Amino acid sequence: MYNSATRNKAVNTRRLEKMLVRACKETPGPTSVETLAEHYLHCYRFDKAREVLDEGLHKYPQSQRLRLLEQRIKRTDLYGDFLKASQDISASPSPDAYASLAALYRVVGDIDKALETCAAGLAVFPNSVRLYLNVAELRIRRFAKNFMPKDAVLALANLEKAASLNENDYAVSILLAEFYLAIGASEPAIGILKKILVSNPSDEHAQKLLEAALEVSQKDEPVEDLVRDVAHSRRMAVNPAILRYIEKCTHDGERLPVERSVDTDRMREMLAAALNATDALAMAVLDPKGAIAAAAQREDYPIDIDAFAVAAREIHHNTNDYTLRMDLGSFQSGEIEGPFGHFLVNNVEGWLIGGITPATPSNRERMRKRMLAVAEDCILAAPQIKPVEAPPGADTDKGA
Amino acid sequence: MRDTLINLNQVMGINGSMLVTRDGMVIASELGKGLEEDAVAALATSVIRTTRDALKKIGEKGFSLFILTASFGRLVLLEAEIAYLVVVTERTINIDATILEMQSAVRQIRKKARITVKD
Repeated sequence: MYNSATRNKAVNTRRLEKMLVRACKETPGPTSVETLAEHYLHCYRFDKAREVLDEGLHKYPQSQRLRLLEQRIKRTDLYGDFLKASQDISASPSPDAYASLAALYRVVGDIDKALETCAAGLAVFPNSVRLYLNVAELRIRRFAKNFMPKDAVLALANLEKAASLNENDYAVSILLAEFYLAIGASEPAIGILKKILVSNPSDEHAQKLLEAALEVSQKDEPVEDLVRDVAHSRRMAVNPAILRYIEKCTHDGERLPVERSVDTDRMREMLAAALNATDALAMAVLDPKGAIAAAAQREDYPIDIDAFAVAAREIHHNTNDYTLRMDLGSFQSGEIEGPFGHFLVNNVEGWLIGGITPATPSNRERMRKRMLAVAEDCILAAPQIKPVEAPPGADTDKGA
Repeated sequence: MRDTLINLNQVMGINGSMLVTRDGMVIASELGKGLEEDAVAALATSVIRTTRDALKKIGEKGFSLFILTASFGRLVLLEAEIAYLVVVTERTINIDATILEMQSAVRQIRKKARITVKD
């Protein structure tokens, strides 16, 4: 009896696996990858889950849902390391112990926790060059991704503090010079690079940076203004390829946004299916320029889709600037509840997916998940054309 | 009002809260470290104005709840009759569970506002 039940369970599991593997091939997208990886986790086949997830992240590096699953798996994998690092801090606190814990948070993608850990370490060891350097690296990493001015200003403050504590620390000096150069402050960069070259005249990287710094015309503006210019144009003041150390601390496997060839017919089909699955009344997808790429609505719901699209676009556009200024990062989603029901706007790589539903709070979570799934499956599974090259002065993150 | 905000801020994942009128006047605020009152009030006012205007376009009047999710945090606005309760939270919290705490704070604010008006 027991054997028969176990055998049936195993057969069903294998059948489900085959079905999910087939779904990954037939309807590629973050949802099918996530479902298959979750299935393997459920069956305790962790290696297989990681393998599927890695492949998925390679195909859809911008998928928020796959990133969250990756974080979950990494946290479980690193549980022992987290425990040990926390115990080290309690047993014998040192800057290295705090830096190790911060590094683990960085690995799982929790930058806020990593910064918090460094701050806790600096409260105990206020003269630790390593912790100031760690904070600077974390802030630079965030700045390179989100271009929030405060991150750049705090990165500089921490690097300057580290440099004042140890003038001869090469990692600090070179990162400070690179970051000054990155924001267009060539004069302080030249000063630091000359110092590095006095102690090591054969340093080829410092020589290259010095050449680049001498080519950049010095602007007589406060650092805060230079940072704001870089944040506004969302690109560094010099060619990022020469910023080797910044590249090292910002690299996290994520790619530039890309232009995509989205299949509007498929998108329309997916929206129609999503309308049924979520009880939504209307849904629309807007391309990064703000035009409607696809829309679907219930026949008995007479909404003006153009007005609906304008509403979604304005909500995104008008709040994104403020969230960046407030250090909250870029707009990901907005959910509005009122007497009419629920209005959701999701941002995926600059594309906006808006939906309106008579949802009650009890199925808010279901609606939210479904909308994100549709958004990611529509956009991220579409073939890439080329990386988006932002024109000077353009804010690529604003999307629509 | 401030006591209600202080109590609300005890909930894990909440970084600060404030009460702001539709036109951006701050009634009370209890914001955590790193949050500037002017910046939060400006964002809240912009969200309120933009959302009301956007909803008008589709023939709707107002909203009772707005959850804005950004890369590193969330901003939640709840209508509290006299004003909006604005709450800044961490990105990773269970928002649906935390909203219950916020709704409880809104009820207290409404009650206190009525008592103040009667006095």
